[in-house]
Amino acid sequence: MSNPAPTAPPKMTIKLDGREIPFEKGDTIIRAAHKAGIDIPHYCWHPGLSVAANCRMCLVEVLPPPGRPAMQLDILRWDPAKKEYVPQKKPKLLPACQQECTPGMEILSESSAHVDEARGAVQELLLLNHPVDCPICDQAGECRLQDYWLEHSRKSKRMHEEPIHKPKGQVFGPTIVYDAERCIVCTRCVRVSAEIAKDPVLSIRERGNLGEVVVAPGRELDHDYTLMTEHVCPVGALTSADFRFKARVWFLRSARTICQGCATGCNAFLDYDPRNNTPYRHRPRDNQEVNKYWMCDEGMLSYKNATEKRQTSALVGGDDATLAEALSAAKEQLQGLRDDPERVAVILSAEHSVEDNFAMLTLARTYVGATDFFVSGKPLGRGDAILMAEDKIQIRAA
Amino acid sequence: MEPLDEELEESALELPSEPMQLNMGPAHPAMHGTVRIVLELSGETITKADVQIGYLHRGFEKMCERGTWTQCFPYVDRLNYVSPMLNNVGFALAVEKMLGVTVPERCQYYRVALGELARICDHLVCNGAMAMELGAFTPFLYCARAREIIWDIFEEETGARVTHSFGRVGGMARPPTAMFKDMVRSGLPRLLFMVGETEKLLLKNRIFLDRLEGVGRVSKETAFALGWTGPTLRSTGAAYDVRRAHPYLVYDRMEFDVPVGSAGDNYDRFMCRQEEIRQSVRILEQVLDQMPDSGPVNIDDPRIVLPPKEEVYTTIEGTIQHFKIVMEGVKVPAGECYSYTEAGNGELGFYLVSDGSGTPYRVRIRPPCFAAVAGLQQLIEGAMIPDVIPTFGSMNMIGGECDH
Ligand code: SF4
Ligand code: FES
Repeated sequence: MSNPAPTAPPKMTIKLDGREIPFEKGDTIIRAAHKAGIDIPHYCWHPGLSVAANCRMCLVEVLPPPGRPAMQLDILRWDPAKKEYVPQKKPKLLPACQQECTPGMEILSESSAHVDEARGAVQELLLLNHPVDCPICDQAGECRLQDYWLEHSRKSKRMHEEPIHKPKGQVFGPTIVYDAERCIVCTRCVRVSAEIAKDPVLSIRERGNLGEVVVAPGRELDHDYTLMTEHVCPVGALTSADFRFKARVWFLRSARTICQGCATGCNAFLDYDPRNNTPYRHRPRDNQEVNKYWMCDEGMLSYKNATEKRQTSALVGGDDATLAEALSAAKEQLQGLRDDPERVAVILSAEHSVEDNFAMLTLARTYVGATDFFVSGKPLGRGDAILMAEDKIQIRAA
Repeated sequence: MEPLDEELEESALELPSEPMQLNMGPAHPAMHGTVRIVLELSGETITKADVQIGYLHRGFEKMCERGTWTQCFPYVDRLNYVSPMLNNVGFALAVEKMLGVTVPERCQYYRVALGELARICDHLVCNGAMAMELGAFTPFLYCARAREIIWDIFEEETGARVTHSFGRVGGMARPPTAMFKDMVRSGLPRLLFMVGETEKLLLKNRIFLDRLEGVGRVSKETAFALGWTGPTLRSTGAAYDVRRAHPYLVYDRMEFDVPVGSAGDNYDRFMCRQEEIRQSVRILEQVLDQMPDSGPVNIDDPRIVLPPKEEVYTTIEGTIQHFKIVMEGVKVPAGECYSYTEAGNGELGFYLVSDGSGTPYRVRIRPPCFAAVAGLQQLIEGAMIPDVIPTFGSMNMIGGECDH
């Protein structure tokens, strides 16, 4: 007699467009799909933020449990043949970002004509008052409004009135400029400030097409994670003062990198233009073990260290020199020190790679005969309980 | 006085000789399209010929593979630059085949009309240039004058006389102008008159005929083996014309003959082209009768066709549509296709591979004159130097198309 094999608890699954996907307790439909690599269109949902469910782009059709009637809405639909509105029913759609999964739930996303129609309608609504800004907008090329319009709407708007005008180019703080006309009021930036930076300095005023983001009176948007508000903004409403009008994103290529700012070592992308080999910005690269989805402002701007304030040529006595001149000057000055090692001290750096330091050490010991060594490095700095480490030496990242 | 060579033996008069090497081209005036033929001569007879192409090389295929699908049109214009419209339409049809879309009927007629006009240009230039290289300069001017009638129409329709870049994926850059049909209707009789005059000047000219008839002969079997298509193949008696064998656009609604030769010599190639001009005119007349005067020219799909400029400037939807197509390109589903049409020189094929992005992964062209030029060597070996000129002329090598 053999022991019955221990049975694993049955995997909980939902069915999305006929495809079975697993979920864990508490997962929303959009999160389960996200984990399975399926993208349900969305604006306001962000995997690292709380659920707001205000954009309605993620609407899906959840089929009723077997034997139960579907939740239906009475609507009037234009019948072009009869030239009048006729009463009809359509299923009530649910936001995938808010609806929790239950085992066996059946969901239609791409395969539902109602969902398709709803997405087109949401898109039409979001573009109703949108300015014709793509040619001058930094987001163009990585903008959800552009992508989703082509994927889900492809229609012109039916409103021909003058759109609502709102303030443009508002300076929110030292790093961020806000354009209220482009804003779709998804509140991602509000939630980043409150939930990630723990500084609820942004909020929304007014409703509907008058809604806009405002900074708390007497304050500026100046916490340590302001560039994350720009990063999560799905449209071009928030722009980084640093990146604004500097480059067009379709010319940029991304390289995977790690931020050099502190010992946390946030994972990042460095976006650069291959034509002039110039870096233009950092973007956080998701790593759940290190920085999740985020980076601090200092780290975001540290991409500049690659090109700015760098010693790119040799100096002799503070003056520019060629490499050959510098080498011969060094040779001259270091000669004969072996007999009198006290006359020389060698400084290693905690910010150099192990290989560089080792090469320096070997050179100093064998050829120069130095006996005194010092190690330099950046001093401790400001840290916080979010991402920033006090230790500013990146090589000490855990 | 006694003759000087009285004492010499007969054999001593024979001078030792070896074959002479002669370079024709790449800068020879008759070797247009920059081709070079290395000839080995025994007297004036060609014992060996080595035809070398590649002096005009732009890397056309690679250039196409770095922009968007739409950005290929100016490049394909410059394949056979004597009839760019046929290349434009051929390429558009290839991409449309991958997308699985068909352009509206009005556009199909329009494409046929512009294509046939371009074909007439192609044949006029080929035959006119051939005559000129044989010393008959006037007929060339007559042909150029006839071509001018067509170029005026093209200028009116597309804004450009030679390289129009007028094709688009899913349609054309602009709908036909209001004057289009009238311009063609009034142009065709004048054109036919000029074509007739040209023939009168040439076809009773003994010198011209002697240099064409029986020169550069090729058999039907050889032509097939060489992969020839177009007028060069048809001159041998094989009636293969893509428009008839595999009709595309609205060619299946057109009545026209496929003229063929019998001898496969320079004369037949010349005459096939002359007759095809008349057949093209026939097609054009039918197109003008059948083509609707209104209706859409472009397909109705914002993923493929640019919005009207006014909308781009005034609505966000138009801007987005424009932006997506211009910056990212039309997204062509991953896959491959071979699409072929009858161009001026024969079967112009495009073999395209897409990885699903807005940029072609691979663009490969089957230029009809490439195969024709490949056969030139066989035709001129054993012939005389003067025979090279009309034979090469009747291949209609176009450097841009032969770019490999
Ligand atoms: S600024 Fe951007 S992130 Fe903030 S509410 Fe508007 S669209 Fe959303
Ligand atoms: S993502 Fe905005 S409502 Fe669900």
